Amino acid sequence: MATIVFQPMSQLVTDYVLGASGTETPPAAWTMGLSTTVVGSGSNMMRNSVWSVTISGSNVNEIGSGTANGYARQTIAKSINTGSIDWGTSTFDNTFSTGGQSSAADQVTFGAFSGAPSPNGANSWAITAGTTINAGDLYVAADTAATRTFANGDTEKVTATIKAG
Amino acid sequence: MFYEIVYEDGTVSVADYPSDDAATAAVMEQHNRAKAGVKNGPQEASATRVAKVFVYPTHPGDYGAGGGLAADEVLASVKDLLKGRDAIDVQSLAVSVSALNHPMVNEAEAHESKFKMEADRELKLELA
Repeated sequence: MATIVFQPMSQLVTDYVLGASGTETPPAAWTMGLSTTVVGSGSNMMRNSVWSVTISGSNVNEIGSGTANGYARQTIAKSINTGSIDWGTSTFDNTFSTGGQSSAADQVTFGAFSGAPSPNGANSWAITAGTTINAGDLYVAADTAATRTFANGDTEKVTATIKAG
Repeated sequence: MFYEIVYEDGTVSVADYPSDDAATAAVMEQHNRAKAGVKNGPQEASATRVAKVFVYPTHPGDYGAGGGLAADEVLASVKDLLKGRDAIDVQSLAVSVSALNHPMVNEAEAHESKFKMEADRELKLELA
């Protein structure tokens, strides 16, 4: 499964975490979206990718922009273990080469779908900001285990784990 | 319209349907799959029964978008945070103030809305 960290997340570390920037700040809440774009290995998504309805170059294209049929972004609160859908207690991996601090979010559920969204076929999920389809900063993305094609009554459950190392 | 589907296990999902009829068809399909003990869709996990569905004119995650909140609401919340204290850690206070426009509530009841935005209404469903 390929993953990618986009430029806005890197800049949060350099500007907000290190420098307490007042202009580069995290969103009030994180949201998760499903994308038709595969993460790939540099030829699909890139560090400077942006959401777009146009499937071209390194653009990241969201499902459901033409016909939602139940698709909407799911919210993950910017908090830890508060009872809403948010992040869990982080854990530390001391492995020299692959270690770091990781946190798993509560599982989010997309749908139930009322029919096939258009475009359909999720190849990846992304942590982003805002609820407007094909808009907002991209922070991280990862491939789904297989292409998920939705029909009436279907749901899709995603549990995000972020590891910073 | 946006619909917050509250599942029996306490998880929620926000979905965008063109009508109440479309929402009802999708939710009842998922609910009936759960009652029949079949899979929930392409991920092939078990389907989950639905407890309630709340209806919103906008995505409930947009609550407080842009960082704006009514001054009296902010003032009342800060007063609550300072209540009974002679001193407070200003960094903790800053974090608490920053959290005021988070769209989700911290401690929601299992089968109630997880969002601060007030729902227009509850979708009427026959979920027996």
